[in-house]
Amino acid sequence: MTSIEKALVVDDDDDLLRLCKVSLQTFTDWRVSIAGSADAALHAAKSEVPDVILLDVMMPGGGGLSLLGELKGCPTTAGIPVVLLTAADATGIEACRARGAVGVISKPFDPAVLPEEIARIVREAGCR
Amino acid sequence: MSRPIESTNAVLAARAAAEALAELRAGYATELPERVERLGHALAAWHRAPADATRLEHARVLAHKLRGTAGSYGFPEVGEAAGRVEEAVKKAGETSDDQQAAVWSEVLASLREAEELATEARARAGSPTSHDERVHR
Repeated sequence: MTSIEKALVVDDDDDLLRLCKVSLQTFTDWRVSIAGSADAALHAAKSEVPDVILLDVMMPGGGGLSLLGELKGCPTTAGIPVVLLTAADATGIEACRARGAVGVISKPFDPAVLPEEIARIVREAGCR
Repeated sequence: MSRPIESTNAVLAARAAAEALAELRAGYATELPERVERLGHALAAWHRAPADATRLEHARVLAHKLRGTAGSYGFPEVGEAAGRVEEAVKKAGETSDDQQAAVWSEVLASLREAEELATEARARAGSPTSHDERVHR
């Protein structure tokens, strides 16, 4: 697929975290970490430095876009490709890209093709 | 000569992955009516205090999450009904007081639809009794 070895999934919704984790772990050999809050995500991103972050836009507080800004503003995490998960329309998706995400996956998504989709986005962005 | 073994391993891995997802979906379906019920409680709380923006936002966020999650778990019709609830709740936050009753009817109709679909999804996934037995075992 790609040279992704470690992925971090960030979402405050346990159901979605579980689905993404099972999807990524069963269809790839990636090591998958999960974070249920922005603080936990920042900590995990800085300590583990994953090869890709899958981040839900709809998070409490400032939301996923605010976390994206923090990740891009930190030298340790700025280079990590971030793929956003969103149920937003085309305008919202463009806004996500403008904030520095390498790509966007629309919800609902198919968990059977999620890893392939993430790998394709990262590959096309030339990150890995 | 290792190709057939690799190919067999790939088939087995794909089957295991499909089984893992199917199991996860069945578990989600079993609890889907409770998730819709939680949305119903949040909507009722907002309906009791329509001027409370926090309650409105809480109900909208729950509807939004159900919209994205149910569809991703393979229950798009429940997700679509939740999406209609979310859109109606958003509309309620933007309409005048005299239109609130009409918007609330819209919210309720979509909620009822989501409830029925969630119950059907659970029935397809397995009986609630067997789930209760698993939970309390």
